[in-house]
Amino acid sequence: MGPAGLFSEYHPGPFFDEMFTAPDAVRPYCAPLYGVLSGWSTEEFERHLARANVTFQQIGITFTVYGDARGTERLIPFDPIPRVIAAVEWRQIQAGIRQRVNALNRFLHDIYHDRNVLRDGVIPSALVLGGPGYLRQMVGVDVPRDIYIHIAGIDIIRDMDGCFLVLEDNVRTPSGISYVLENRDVSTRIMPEIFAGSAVLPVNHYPEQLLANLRYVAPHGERNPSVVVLTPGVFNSAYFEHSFLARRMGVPLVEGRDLVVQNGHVYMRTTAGLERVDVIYRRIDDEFLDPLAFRADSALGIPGLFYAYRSGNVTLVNAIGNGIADDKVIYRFVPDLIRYYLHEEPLLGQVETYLPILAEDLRFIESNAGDLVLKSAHQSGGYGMLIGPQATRAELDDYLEHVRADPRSYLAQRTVALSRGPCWVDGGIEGRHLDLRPFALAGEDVTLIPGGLTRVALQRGSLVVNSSQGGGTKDTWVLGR
Amino acid sequence: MAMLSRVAESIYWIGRYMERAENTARLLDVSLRSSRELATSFRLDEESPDELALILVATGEHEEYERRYGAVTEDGLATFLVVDQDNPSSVVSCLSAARISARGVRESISSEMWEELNRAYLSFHRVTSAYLLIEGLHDFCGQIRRASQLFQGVTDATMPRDEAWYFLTAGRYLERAGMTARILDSRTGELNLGADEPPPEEVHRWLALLRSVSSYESFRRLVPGSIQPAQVAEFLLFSLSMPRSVAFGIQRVQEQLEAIDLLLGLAPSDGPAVLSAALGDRMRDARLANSSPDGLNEYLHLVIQDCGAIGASIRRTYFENVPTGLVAS
Repeated sequence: MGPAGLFSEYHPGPFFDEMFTAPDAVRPYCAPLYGVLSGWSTEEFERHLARANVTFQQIGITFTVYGDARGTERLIPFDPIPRVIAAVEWRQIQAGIRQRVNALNRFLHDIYHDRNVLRDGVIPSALVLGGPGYLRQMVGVDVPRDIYIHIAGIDIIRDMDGCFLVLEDNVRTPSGISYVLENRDVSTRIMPEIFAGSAVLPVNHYPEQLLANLRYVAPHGERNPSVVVLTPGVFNSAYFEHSFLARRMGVPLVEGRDLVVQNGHVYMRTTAGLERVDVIYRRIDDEFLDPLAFRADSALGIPGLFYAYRSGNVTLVNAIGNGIADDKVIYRFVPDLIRYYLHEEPLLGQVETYLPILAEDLRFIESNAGDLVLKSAHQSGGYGMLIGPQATRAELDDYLEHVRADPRSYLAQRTVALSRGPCWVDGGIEGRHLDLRPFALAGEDVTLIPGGLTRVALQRGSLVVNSSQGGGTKDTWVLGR
Repeated sequence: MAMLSRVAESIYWIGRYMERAENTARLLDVSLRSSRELATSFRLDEESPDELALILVATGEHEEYERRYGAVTEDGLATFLVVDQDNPSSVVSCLSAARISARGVRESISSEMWEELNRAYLSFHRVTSAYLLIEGLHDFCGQIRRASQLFQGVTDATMPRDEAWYFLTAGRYLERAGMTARILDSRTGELNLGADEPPPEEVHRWLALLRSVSSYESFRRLVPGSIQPAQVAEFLLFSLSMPRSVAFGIQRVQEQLEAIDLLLGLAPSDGPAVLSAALGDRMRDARLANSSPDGLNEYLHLVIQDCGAIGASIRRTYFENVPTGLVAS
């Protein structure tokens, strides 16, 4: 099938393209979607997009821009061209993420209990015990059903050959699921015709699955637990999502000031007095959860919450202390953790990583900085990052200074030519780089909703897909056959 | 399961803020027009400061206004009561506060309610006093009234009759009852209750008063004959069929609070439901015909005080309530 309609100008470029194998060749599993889209005129694209944006604005799916005193709310740009994942590709991603989440969960239990992984020399002890995400307070604490990671967002990219690689693990409070569900909802409502002839797997059972898992980890096996979502409040950038999940699960959305700890139990203040809370899906970072146990200046937290938690009277989801598992330095060792705990080979590759804290790696980084991506281990959202091939010598030298001064806080990675997909940009179709964040839920099993959040770097040539830096999102289709 | 106190409080305040925005807009609009008419038709003092200042007496913000604006002028009043973001009771501040409250409790109200509040806020929050001068205060006040009424309609059509509904409705009617009482109170000084045939400018003032609480037409329909001041005051205080009277509002408040207590299994002996029932009972048998102006004044102050006491009791009972004995779910 040759390119038609607005696609006749489209060129996949020297990258792996999610829809084309060559300028004139559409991937077979994308053919039904392509068949519809290639019939659309400019006006049709614009009309669908305008309707989508009105819908997003009305339902109020916005994110708050930090550093703006008036609390401006913005829409994340929505790209109307879905990203398609073939059934066979999804099977690999799914199995790979399950494996990774299982290994990381075993790792967390181990380092807060027996520390076998350190004794056996799989990871240098200092990197774990001295890591900023390792919380001494969690040593010896037992969590219900030994689950630390209930919700994971594992970021995946594709290289030049189309191989899926894990870029980053997020096992603390990963966000973005509300966009997955709303993107699907909006595209089925305003562009029903594009689903014609496709076998797209549904995603909207996520809140049900999440609620079932939250109930599964209730303290003392409580059969009818009281579950809440804990938010920092309306000024948090992901507030919409907190409210969305509470609404879809039909559970209260609480703030720190709604909760109180008495006699080692957590209660919420209701119009009828105090009511017991058993499971808290918290979207507040560890350090702000309890001013008595962590940061004393936290106004968001609940004094005594950690005591109630370690007494086993309330379950926090995700567990406290997970930060060490998605530390960008520990990332380098995850394939070893999979082999160590599961006796399996990793099913998903990852990006080659060098750690300046290891002498040999530092020498390599110094002589190859211009070919590497240099990253801060503790920042996210595309901040604190230097892309070697795009940097000047002076920028590189300056960055390396910081690296040498605090090697535990940095890492370097091979640059990966991210895959691209066709996007609607400035009235035409152009290729843009993208990634994928599938969401995994752990309860009795680790399950994934098909697909996840596809983020696109809408600026030409950009590799940064984060919403705070001009990224957009796409509906993500996993085909059932 | 009972609602979170914070959520209940936010919803109650959404009801109050939206009602306050509408009441302030209507009061300002009617009072400004009436004072201009008085000035021309009855050749009263052109400035007529007392007439305008009564608006501030009704909203209870006289001192605050004088401190910041000085002399009472039409422009000053319009700025202070409509667009001044430092005045927490200005129309724009009320809309903004209602929207912030709604944003924090979106999982407890309908999407349609959120959309109406969001739309009202987005349409009006950037209005300036210059805009009011050019586009006309009257039109603007009309838009605010319609936005508030649209919100009430959408609420009525989409909100389940559960605890949240009762709190929202209680807030709305308590605000309205208090406002009607304060507007009446601001007028007692100049109005002669006993007059059988009041002079024309006084009739004009009574009519303006009725219009400022959107009750002129219903009064005419329900109370035949010439305008008797005591009848107007009784109508605004005691009518159980006119939705903006004090007694009507208090009766609605009582119903909501009783429904909440039933839902929560509470039987408070001195809670807000009991307070509003007592006030309602007292109003049912009251008459004004032979009251002196001082007597009416005193009576209104008691009513206003009772409204305040009901509000304080609602806060204590449902929002700050931490009982000594713990309730395990």
